[in-house]
Formats: sequence, C-alpha cells, structure tokens
Amino acid sequence: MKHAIISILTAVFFAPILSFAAVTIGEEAPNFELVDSNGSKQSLEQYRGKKVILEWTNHKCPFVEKHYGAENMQALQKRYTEEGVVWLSIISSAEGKQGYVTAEEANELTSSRNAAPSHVLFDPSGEVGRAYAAKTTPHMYIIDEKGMLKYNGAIDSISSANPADIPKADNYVDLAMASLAAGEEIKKPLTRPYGCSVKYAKK
Amino acid sequence: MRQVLIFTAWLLLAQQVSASETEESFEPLSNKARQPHIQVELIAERPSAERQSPRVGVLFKPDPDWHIYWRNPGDTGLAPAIQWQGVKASGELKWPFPEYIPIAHLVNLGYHYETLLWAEADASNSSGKVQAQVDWLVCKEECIPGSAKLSLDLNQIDESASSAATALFDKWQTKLPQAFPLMDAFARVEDGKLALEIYASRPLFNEVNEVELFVENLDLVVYGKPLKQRALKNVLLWEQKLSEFKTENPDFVRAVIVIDRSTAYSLALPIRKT
Repeated sequence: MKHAIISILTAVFFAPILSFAAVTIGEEAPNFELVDSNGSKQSLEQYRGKKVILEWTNHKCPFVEKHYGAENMQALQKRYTEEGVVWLSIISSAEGKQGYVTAEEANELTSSRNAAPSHVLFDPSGEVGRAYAAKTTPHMYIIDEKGMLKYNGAIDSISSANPADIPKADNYVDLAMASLAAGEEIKKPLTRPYGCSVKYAKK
Repeated sequence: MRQVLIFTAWLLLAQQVSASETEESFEPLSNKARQPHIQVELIAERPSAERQSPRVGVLFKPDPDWHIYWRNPGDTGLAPAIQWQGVKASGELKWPFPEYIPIAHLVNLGYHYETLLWAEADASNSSGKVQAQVDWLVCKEECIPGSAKLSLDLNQIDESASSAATALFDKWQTKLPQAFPLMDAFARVEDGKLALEIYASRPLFNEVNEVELFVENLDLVVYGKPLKQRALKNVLLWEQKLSEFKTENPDFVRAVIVIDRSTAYSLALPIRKT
C-alpha cells in the first residue's frame, strides 16, 4: 500500500438518497394506500377536496411522548378534524422496531391517550415514509384540497423533548393552517423536523 | 397516562423552583450523574495565580454503542447543551471534532465513547462555585433525553484531582479544530450543490489516509458521502448536495476538516453568490 495516498472519493450519488423521493412544497404530494387500524384501506387520493395532515409517529419516542403527554398532539387533532380536515397518523416502524404496534394496540393507544386522528395507518415496509422522506417522529406534512404539499417539517419551533417548551414554541401546524385558511402564503412551509429517527425496515 | 401527566406537572414545578433560586444558593449537588446509557461528570482545574482562567468542562461517557451529538447533530438528534451558573464561562463551549454516525438511512454527527466539552472559566471575583445544567440526547438506534445539574467548588479541588483534570483537558485540547492554514478558498452554491475549493498554505494532505469534512451550518448540505472529494498536497476539492431543508443561503459556510481521525482544522468561508 503506497504511503502517498490521495483520498479520492469520486462522484457517486449516495445510494440511499435515491430511494428517498424529495417531496416538494407546492407540488403534488405522492399518493399512497395503506391499511388503517380497523382493517380498512385508506388512500390519500380519496381525500382530494379536503385538507389532509400527516403525522409520522412512534408512541415510544420521547419526542412523541412530549407532545402526547402534554395533550398537545391530541388538541391539534381535535381542532382540525372538527373542521373537516383529515388527520392521518402514520407508523413506518418496521416489525420488531420501536413504535411498531398491532391494530389492537394502536386503537388502545388512541383511546388511552384520547387521541383523535381520522385514521392510524400502518406502513411497516416504510414505502410511504420513504416516498415522503419522513425522517423523524413526529414529522408533519400538510396537504391542501388540491393534493398539493403545503407544509413539511417540525411540529413546532423548539426542538427538545421537554414538554415545558411547548407553550413557548411557535406551533408550525397551527401557523400553516391559519395561513391556508386566510388564503395567505405560509411563511415557513419547510422546517427541520425534530424527533427520533423513523425506525425503517432495512432495505 | 395519568402518571405521565403527574410527572410532567412535577417536572414543570421543579423547573419553577430551580428558576427562582438566586445565584448564591446552591443545592448540595454532585459533580457526577449516572442516567440511562450515559454518565456525565463535571471536571475542573483548580484556579491559581498562574491559572486565572481554569478550564471547566463536562465529560460525557455514553455506554458502548451509544452516542451523543456534535453542535450540528446531522439528520436527526440534538446537540448537548451546558448552561453555566456561578463561575462564568468566558467564551464559547469547545467542541472536539466529531465522527459521522450512519444509522439506517440517516447520518448523524457526534461522539461515541467519551467526550469532553468545556470552556475557560472566569474565576476572578467569584466564590468558586460552579454549577452546570446539562441537557443531552443519547442514542443508539433509540434515543433517550437526559438532564442533570452538576456542581463543584473550584477552590475545593485538591491537587491530584486538578492534575487529573488538567491531563484530560490537555488530551482533549488536541482534538479541537485549530485554525486552518489557509492560502485561499472559494465556496459556491450552484446546481443544487455546495462546492468548496480550499488551498492550504502547506501540503496538509500529503501522505494522509483519510480526510473528512464536517459542515457546521445546520441543514445546509446533506450528511452522507460527499458528491466529490479530492485531497491532494495542499488542495481540497469538496462537493455536496444541498439539504432539502435549506431555506436560505448563509453568508458563511463553517467547516471542520479532520485528517486521519487525529488532527482537525476549522475554517469559515464566505459563500460566493453566483
């Protein structure tokens, strides 16, 4: 092995990046079809004409616990589903990984936490998570009535696991929804999501 | 569920109580804490006439296979935070050079094993009592947030403890990035990439095995293998895809260049508008 080594890492696209589509603000959000916790198939397309909020979740992640423990996530779910928005909680944890639950466990969690998503969807293969490049739990997306992605990112502005930060933070979901309702441009449509990494199945 | 609410209420109350403490009243705390998957320890040098700015730091010891994060944690994660009370830290927290930590499809920047984050303390005109509020996220594949309040009295540190601390600080000093010996450099954002052209004033890259570049700016670029990296003699060419979360072009890109996992340099380059 020569001493004079020039480290050359030539231009090769890092392969896993290719398997993650970038979703783009202002463009159509990728359609998907997943089974919910009651055994029914749900697709994004069927909700065209309504606003849809996607919430990637993992009930054992400390950042998810922060928002559910303080009833923050439930309040958001209730507020928007009562307005006719469709709220989809999506679990992309692979079987055997943190956050993976059976349909029964999911329904139990919804009831014990007083959560109010329209549906809890299972994505154990991670295909939908990867289509959205969902990185963390929580990771929030807002899709308008035309199926366009309007928001992608964090639930709020303080990335911590401390529930005391919730009232101090700007809630990006509320801000985005208020802008949409007023017909205004969302000031921060793309923010860095914070939370535990989504526990995807190995590819 | 109720337990979580009670715990949350207690946590909020406890924070209220500690926030109302004056600077002079320190609880008799320890300088060490053991929490899930990590041990943290406050260490310091004893101040003296020769040592007006003793070093004060927190040693993080994650369990094997667990890690904490760099100031830019990468795709996910949270950088540890230290808030000093009592003796003031003069100047910024010092961060040893990190490592790339791939997890599934993501990449984080952080530290396995032990790492020391520290600052120089301004020990003049003070009682010598130091308190550090330390918050961190320690992860393997799963993550566990942690928090500890550590304290010690600089004037109560005995000679052997002080020497041991000095030895540690000296060791970690070598892992701090030093100023890059820059001759010239260009940073451009174009075609969805950040392109760096760096010319050192000496042949830094001769006969080296490994060169890594870490961008400090949060979410400017993605964190995987760079699109291009060529290090030869005194030249480093480096290109990386911009992050999808990049919202505006910063004026400067700050980077740490690590050679053979042993020597690190830092530099800040103005980004050319093209």
